[in-house]
Amino acid sequence: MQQLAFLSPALIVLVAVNILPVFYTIATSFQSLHLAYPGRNKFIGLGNYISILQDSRFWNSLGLTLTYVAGCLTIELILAFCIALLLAKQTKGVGFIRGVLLLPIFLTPIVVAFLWRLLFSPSLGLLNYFLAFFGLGPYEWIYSPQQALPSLIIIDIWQRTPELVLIIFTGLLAIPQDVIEAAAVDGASPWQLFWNVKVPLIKPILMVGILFRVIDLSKVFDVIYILTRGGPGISTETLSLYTYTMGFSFLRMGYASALGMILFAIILLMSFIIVRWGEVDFE
Amino acid sequence: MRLFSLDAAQRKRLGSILNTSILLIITILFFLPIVWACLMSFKTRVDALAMPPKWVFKPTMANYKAVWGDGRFLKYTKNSLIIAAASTGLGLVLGVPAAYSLARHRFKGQRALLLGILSTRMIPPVAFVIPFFIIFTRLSLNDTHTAVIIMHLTIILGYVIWMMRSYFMDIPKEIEEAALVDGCSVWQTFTRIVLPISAPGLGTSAIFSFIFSWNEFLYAMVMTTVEAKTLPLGVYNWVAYEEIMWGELTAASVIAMIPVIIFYGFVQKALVRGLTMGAVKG
Repeated sequence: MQQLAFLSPALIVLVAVNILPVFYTIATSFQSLHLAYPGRNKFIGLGNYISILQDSRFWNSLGLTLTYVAGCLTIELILAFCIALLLAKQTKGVGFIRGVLLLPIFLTPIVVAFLWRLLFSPSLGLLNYFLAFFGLGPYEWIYSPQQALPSLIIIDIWQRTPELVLIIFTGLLAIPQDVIEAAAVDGASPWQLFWNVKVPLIKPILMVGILFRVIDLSKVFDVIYILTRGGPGISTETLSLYTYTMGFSFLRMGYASALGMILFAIILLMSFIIVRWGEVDFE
Repeated sequence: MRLFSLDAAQRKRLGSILNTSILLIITILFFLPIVWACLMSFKTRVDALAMPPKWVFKPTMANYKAVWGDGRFLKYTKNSLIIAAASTGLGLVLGVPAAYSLARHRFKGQRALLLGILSTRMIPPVAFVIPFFIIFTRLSLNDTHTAVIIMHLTIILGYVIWMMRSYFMDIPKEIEEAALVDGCSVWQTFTRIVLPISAPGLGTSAIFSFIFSWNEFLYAMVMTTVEAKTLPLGVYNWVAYEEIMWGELTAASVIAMIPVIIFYGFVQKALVRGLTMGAVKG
């Protein structure tokens, strides 16, 4: 009984604010709901989903979302491994470096967006200014359809690589020193030591980091909305951006709900694969 | 070729200097954008637009005065504080007892329940906000603190349950059993023994929840128009309606960053845990 008293308030609220709204969204995704004409709303079954499969703008946004997730994750993982390995070797000032390096993770998205708008600015941007010293540029960054998505990937690399650095670094510190020494005695090269000893040992922690990274990357909205609104054209319109445009600019709530559910299904599927394949154990 | 004539100790020292230098360069690269924005906030309009960029200049407080003197900015800051404090408080009050129960008792379907709570983090906010927008409009709750607090609670509650469960699992059961034997009720044991021991966990959960709410953009954008607007929206609109005043904009950004940086200092030791909802214990 006491257990119920501890648990039930939270469960009631969770059902009310999390579970019911999800079912509401699922129900809306089977309707033609258009906020400008709520009276004409009717049940259309899979109608929205069928339209979406024939919608080239949906396929464009799906491709952009997957490119964004894969691009950010790959580069962030490589960079994070390099930085974490350096950090694990470091003896002095680890706390200071860690503290400064991790700060970007917590910055308000609006601040991050303006910071980078300032850096990307063609006229007074630091990036073009510094790259000019190396004979590079000037680039158009977020203002060109070809460079906009890579520019947004650069922002995420800057803000979120530290998160993976921290996770990998924590994993590396937890490896018992005698395991490393035993492998070294057995004549393992540094590369073998890394690939065959360290990586498998930190895999459980690493997979948790990758899981959260993939979830957050797939949902990406704030920085892209603030900087490009999906543009130029639709060159950075990820699935979240397209859903927002459909729902809150065109007021097609039914269609937007269906788009959102497809994104939710994709995130669930990717999470399931990571948890299964990575043998993530949440205990 | 001289490198190879170094003895082992020298080579080790060189390696450590190299290690430190590379790390410092990376750290500076990551930190530079933040420093640049801070400098910008102390520049006059002319200095801010100067090219090549001015690293040395006469600082001015004019931007901060302009931002702070704008009544709207103060109001948005107040809104953000109210919403972040309320959603964090509610999340803790509801979530902490539930987390304790989930840490101490096993029941059928518990794993499914926990994964269900975790999956709330996987729901795309753009889709999730639709039912709330429709219902809040019907209830005339749009543009109220309540609407945003409820929206933020949807994320914070699940977060607190996962985080605090991981902290409670670390407390040895024997301590509580001793208290129960001494005649404490379950509730007394929880409030007088368990909660004080878990203070660091409570603090970490509270800070992460607060920062989340403080930074949140999409829900606040959809749910508010004038009265309940939060600070990120205030900063955003600064640009939408006026020509970009980089000095004032960066000053507003720096002010928005201050609470985050202060709180960030407090959770240094619990960062891994906080970022993984308690799944990785640092």
